[in-house]
Amino acid sequence: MLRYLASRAGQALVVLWITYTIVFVLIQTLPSDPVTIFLASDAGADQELIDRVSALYGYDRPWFEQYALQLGNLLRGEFGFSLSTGQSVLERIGSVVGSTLALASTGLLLSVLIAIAISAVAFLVDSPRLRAIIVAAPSLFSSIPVFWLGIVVLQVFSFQLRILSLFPDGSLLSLLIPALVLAIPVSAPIAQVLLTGVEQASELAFVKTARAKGARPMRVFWHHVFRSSLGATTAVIGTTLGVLIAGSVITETVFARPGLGSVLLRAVIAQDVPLVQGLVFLTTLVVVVAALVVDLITPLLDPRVLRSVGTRGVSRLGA
Amino acid sequence: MSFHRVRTRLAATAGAAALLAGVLAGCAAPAASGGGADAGAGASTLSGTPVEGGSLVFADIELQTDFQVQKAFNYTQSNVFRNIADRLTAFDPETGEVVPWIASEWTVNEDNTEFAFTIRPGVTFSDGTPLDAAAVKANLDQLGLGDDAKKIVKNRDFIGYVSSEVTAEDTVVVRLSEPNADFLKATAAATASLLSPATLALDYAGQADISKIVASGPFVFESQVPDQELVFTKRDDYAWPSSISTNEGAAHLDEVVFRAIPEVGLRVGAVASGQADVSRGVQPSDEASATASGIELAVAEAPELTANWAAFRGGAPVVSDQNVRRALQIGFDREALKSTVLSERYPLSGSVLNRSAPGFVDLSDEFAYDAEEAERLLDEAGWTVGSDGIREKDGQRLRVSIAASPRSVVIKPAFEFIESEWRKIGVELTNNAGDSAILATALGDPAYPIIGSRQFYLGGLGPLFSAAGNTNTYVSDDELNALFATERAATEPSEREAVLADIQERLVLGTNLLVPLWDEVQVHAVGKGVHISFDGGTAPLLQEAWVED
Amino acid sequence: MRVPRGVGELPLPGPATALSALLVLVLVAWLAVPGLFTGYDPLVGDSAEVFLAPSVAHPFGTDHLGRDVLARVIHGTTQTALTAGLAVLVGLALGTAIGLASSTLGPWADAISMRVIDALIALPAFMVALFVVAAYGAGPVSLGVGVGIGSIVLFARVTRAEVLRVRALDYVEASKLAGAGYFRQLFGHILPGASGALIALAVVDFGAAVLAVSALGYLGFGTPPPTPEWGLIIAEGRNYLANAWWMTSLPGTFVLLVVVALGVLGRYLGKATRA
Repeated sequence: MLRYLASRAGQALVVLWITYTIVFVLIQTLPSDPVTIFLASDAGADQELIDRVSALYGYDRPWFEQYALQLGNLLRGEFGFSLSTGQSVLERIGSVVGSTLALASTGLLLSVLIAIAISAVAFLVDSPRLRAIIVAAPSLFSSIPVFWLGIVVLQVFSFQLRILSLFPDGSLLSLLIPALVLAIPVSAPIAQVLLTGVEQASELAFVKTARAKGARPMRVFWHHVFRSSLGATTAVIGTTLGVLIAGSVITETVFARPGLGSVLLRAVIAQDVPLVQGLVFLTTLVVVVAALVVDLITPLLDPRVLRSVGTRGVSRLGA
Repeated sequence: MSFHRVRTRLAATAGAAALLAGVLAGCAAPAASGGGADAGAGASTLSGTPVEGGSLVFADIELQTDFQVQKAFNYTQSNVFRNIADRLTAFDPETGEVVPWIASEWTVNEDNTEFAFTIRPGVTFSDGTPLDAAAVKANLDQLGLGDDAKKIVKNRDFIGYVSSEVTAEDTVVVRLSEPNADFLKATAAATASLLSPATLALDYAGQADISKIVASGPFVFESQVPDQELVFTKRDDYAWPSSISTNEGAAHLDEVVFRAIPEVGLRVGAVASGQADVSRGVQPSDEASATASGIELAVAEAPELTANWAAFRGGAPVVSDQNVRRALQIGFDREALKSTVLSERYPLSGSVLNRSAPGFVDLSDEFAYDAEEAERLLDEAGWTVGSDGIREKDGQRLRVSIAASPRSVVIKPAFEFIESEWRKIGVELTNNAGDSAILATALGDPAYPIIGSRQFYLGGLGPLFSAAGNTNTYVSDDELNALFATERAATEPSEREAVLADIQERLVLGTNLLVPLWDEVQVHAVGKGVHISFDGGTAPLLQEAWVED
Repeated sequence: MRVPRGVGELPLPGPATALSALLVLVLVAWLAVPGLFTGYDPLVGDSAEVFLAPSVAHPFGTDHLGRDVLARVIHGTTQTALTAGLAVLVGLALGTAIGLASSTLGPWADAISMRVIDALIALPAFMVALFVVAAYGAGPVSLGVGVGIGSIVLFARVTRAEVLRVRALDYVEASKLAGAGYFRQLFGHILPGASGALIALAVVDFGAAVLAVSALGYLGFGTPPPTPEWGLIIAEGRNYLANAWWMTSLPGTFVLLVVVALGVLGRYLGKATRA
């Protein structure tokens, strides 16, 4: 077990290094210069100052020196300072990360609940037509633009029903409603895996027997169907983190919530290299660790380690 | 009691109606922009007897994270600075004059190179330290000289700044290396807000952090949720507003809260549903529904800013040809632009300056719509109509692109309309308005053809369009630079006005570097019982505002 | 022994599949001859007809410039297909390459490819797309490439899984025995065997790419006007939701139908080629 852990941790480090390299290459190939963007405003552009600030950040050095320098800094946990505000990158991220975590984790929880609800209803419903409609729900969910849904929700709940504050006010509702909007596209791939589980389980002899014996349907669902798809579900949840992040960026923008989304958006627009590097590095770290955890607990949940790969679960940007 | 100082036009209030009814039901009335009640000039929401106490929520279009004072060129920054910090002088939008604020009086020497300010006694920063001559000097030095070690750039308007000297307990003398009559006005700008010496001692990140900024204004930082809200509370002992304030003491409001509504379509609803008292950036197509649901539209005029224009980069491909620039200038129907994507509240521009600005000259007849002449000029420039209607020369298409800030609610639709007009004369336009990433790059790229903008210009038009580091046109025009120098050296108001007229004419007609579009105005939705006015830079004057119970 | 079928010999489709195929055929027609389906100019509007609600003359209503929204959707098919198509192509080409390298070039290539895939999974696709589009300016190429990078992982995993499945089949084993060369084996047997699943994925991915482009358009990084493109039509229309609900909702519903139809077709193709 220890050896397995060590090798997985080693792999995770390699993954971090590759992502750092990819981002570094992307930044190096930028057609524009981040320092010019910071300093050239309506107020004019002072080339001398631009050169001096570039030197300060080391952007005038050859690429391989920059590569080593920045990698070394990241490894030492020094994320540097934002190019556009001078704020420490960790401080900038730290000031809003809580809000994003709250939104994303609530969203994930809700998406799992939605997925379970869909698959349970699909299992319990007898009419094949009704079931066909329910089974189609996930692909519908992943086809609705998040921003559209968000704005409609605000118009209805905030302006017409007046039960939701347009500005996040710390109430439970102002967390739950954006999280629900976020959860809808995220629930799609999870629901699809669970529905496959339902489909397969319904064919299994012991499930048929259990139902035929008159066991309470909900009980059959929990004990036989749900548990047998638990492993695959956990595995797919690990891969929805990307959708979750994309969805968070958009949800945060629509609902004017502070969070990593707006920080990322501004960092990208300003080509704030240290902030972008820091954001990517930390998100990657979270995803890698999450994947590691999922890998470790999946065998505990399902010894067969189901891995569903295929056309299901295409829901990339949570758009 | 007169409230006419602040040029705020106010749309009449129509009867209450169910707000935004039928959003999804599809029964919303198709509202042509510009419909609804018209603006009555000179009205102010400051009528009645002020009510003390209460809180006001000002919903801006975004919240800034960078409040370093020299970079406060955005409305979102100047809206905050106007209410937390004071300035040496203030700009009176009614008369176009500079009036006393922290400087109770001043003298200027013969050749506009020496300015002596007398500092008002008894003013303190919110940390208790005095705003005296020494503090003013510290501010002026950072503004005029910048601080390279802190990556703080010079204030662009402080042209020729050499030094400040405290010559008496209450006197600061500023010396410039060259004449600059506009220096006085530059001290009235948001980018010249006065900060405490403790704030000035901070590094860039510290000065950019609103929670660390200490100033002497009527409101003091209370708390913030980063990227979500800024809360400021009233300073009880505030007693030094500018000489044009209608309130000589502390603010009526106990608290002001700045929030942001980035979604343009939600700004009217936020006020209609009582969730914000004022929201900035109402788009023309929502004006009718706003008045229909009983909320007021306050139109803040902007004599402290230029009009909206599109600036050609003189060295960029295609538009380096003056004939092309002239053709584009006269190649679209401004009246149709106004009736399609703007509204009655947006006067068409007659120059670089707004109609409300001192020294404005109306040149609109000189660049009136003339498609035939535009086509003739393009023919003359060698651009012939190709198979798909777009002109070509030497196998190259007549294609230009425009970058502009996403913060304006009208500039992107306006250029969508102008695109369809220019297409008729054979010009293809790539409309990058609203893409802030492209704007950020285009500002530093002289080869990018067109920038759409409007800017604070209290420091004069020189800093915007002269040679050194001018990101608007990237052109150094000798004649224009000579005019700028003459203007800065002019001592008589009449002389200055005459030169300013020449400058406008040279920019718009002599060089054809600018396409005047529409006057800068900011349309605000104002809730019932909210009394508010705006300064000449469209910033809310919250020290004078109040909210009925 | 299971032999993968070619796309030419599909089982009978159900009604949902038939309807989906019909919709795609309509799209192809719009792509080829958009002018046949609408008489309105998608670029130049009529100032007298701004914000008209849906009617017989304008089934999707008109927009803020008085342009027919349906005409913009019809003419927008081209740009949409280009952008989303490029995204799919990027994902398909790079993903297949990585997947093949991983599954056919030995354990070392497999280990390296798997780490690259892990890295691509860990690197949130949306961040990459946002960065590419912001840095290079929104345009069909940057949008296509930016969004396409996000689907490399899916294609790589499917390719890998498919290759391993196909290789286990008897006839590939046989061709190996016959001493066929690497590329002959690759192009003669392995890729055709895996193509069904890849085509199915490409169809579904196309729909996802349209939505991704729309999301980027919402954040301000869309195909610059006037070129009509579905994603941006939906994204820009949302500014007028309060006074012209049709501008975003009708094209949005239409795109939703297209995405769902592509999903149905993708699953059908996936099942059919594996049946």
